[in-house]
Amino acid sequence: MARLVTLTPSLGVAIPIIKVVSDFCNLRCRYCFYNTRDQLTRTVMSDELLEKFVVEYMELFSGHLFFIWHGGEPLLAGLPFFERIVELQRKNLKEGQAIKNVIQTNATLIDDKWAEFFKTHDFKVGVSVDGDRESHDHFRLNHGNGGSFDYVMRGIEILRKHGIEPGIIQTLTHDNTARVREDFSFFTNILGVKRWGVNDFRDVNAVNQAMLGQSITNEELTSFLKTYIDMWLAQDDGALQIREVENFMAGIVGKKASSCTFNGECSRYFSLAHDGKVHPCDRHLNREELQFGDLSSQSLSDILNSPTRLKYAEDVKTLHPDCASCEWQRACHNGCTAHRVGGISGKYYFCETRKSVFGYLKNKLEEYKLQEKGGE
Amino acid sequence: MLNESVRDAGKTVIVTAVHDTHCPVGSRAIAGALARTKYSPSNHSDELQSIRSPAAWQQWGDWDNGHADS
Repeated sequence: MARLVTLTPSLGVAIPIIKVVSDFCNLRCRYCFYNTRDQLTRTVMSDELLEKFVVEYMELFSGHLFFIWHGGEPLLAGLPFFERIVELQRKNLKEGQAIKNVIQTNATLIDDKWAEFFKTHDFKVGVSVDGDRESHDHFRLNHGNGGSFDYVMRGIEILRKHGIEPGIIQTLTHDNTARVREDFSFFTNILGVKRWGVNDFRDVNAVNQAMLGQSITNEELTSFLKTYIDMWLAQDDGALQIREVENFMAGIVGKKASSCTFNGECSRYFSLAHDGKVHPCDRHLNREELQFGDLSSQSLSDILNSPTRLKYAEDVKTLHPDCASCEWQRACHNGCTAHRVGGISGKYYFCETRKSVFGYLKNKLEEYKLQEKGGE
Repeated sequence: MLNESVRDAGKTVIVTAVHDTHCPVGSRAIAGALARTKYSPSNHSDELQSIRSPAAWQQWGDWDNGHADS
């Protein structure tokens, strides 16, 4: 029987998810986990707080530093805000440090100026697209309940015109699981995407009443992922990377997956809101008991060493007892803490999906190895 | 050799791939995925996920790593 293992032995470089405008957004996606929060009020991080954060973060950590710029819709902070960010980063850069900026946007506000800025400063741009027009416009709506598909496609076109190939995040809901083949084909053959990831909608605490019934089940996610694997194999493009398939594959061959929900390094991340509030992740914003501190009145060092954060890191490390006998323990780490049933120490809701898909892909890999051997 | 028959499915196009026996289905996809695990640490070590190569550093962030899922 496997033992429970220590998962996050040290802090390493902490990775911030910075909500520069907090929940303020120009879209009203029906599944958004900020729907119960104020998305109408224009809230932008003050210059004073931004400078405090950048200075302290770059003082605390060395090596490769990451800044994940998030929202709401982060472009609503305006281009001068981001010009100030790169100015502060340049001013505080020390020997041995390298910076990677990542921004996640709905792409509806991207124009030539934004694209030029991202290209000039080497920002990684992630765009949220749920699939083809039918899938995307099912939930990703503007204030007037109109679909956002055309605006997003225009944004991607502008990015590409400037030599930026965005990563794509697809959100999977109950309704869209029926369109798995259409959406895969859209991404690969119409949009020409080489890399994308899938976020599954699972409202564990039923926070979003408007989306009751849209949380996907183990059966739906298992079927979806197996179909994606089959289509990925049939496409047979060595450069085609689907984040979930990559994560499962890494675990099967005994390597550490890249995603926080597989590799057990969840506590390396923290979320910073426009007003200075710090949480473990923006998926936990509704949980006040998990607030690590407030950068407007505390130092970043004090916040990251706060009892709440240290307890969170310990809770993340403590696996559910069912994990002890699971062969995929080190490849799964009990999944996302926001999707654990009954709290951080609970069992990952998609445990059955993980086990089934690990087994499915492992069999595919063994078939491949047999074929390789037979072809020698 | 890869032959593709393309079927117009209204708003999307579904591609059905047919492979010959000299090139096992999925072999290139799997080989690509395996190659990309090269620089990842073992999941039996306590080493944190890190940027181990210029390629990995370039790639980092493609998937909005703060919201990894499934």
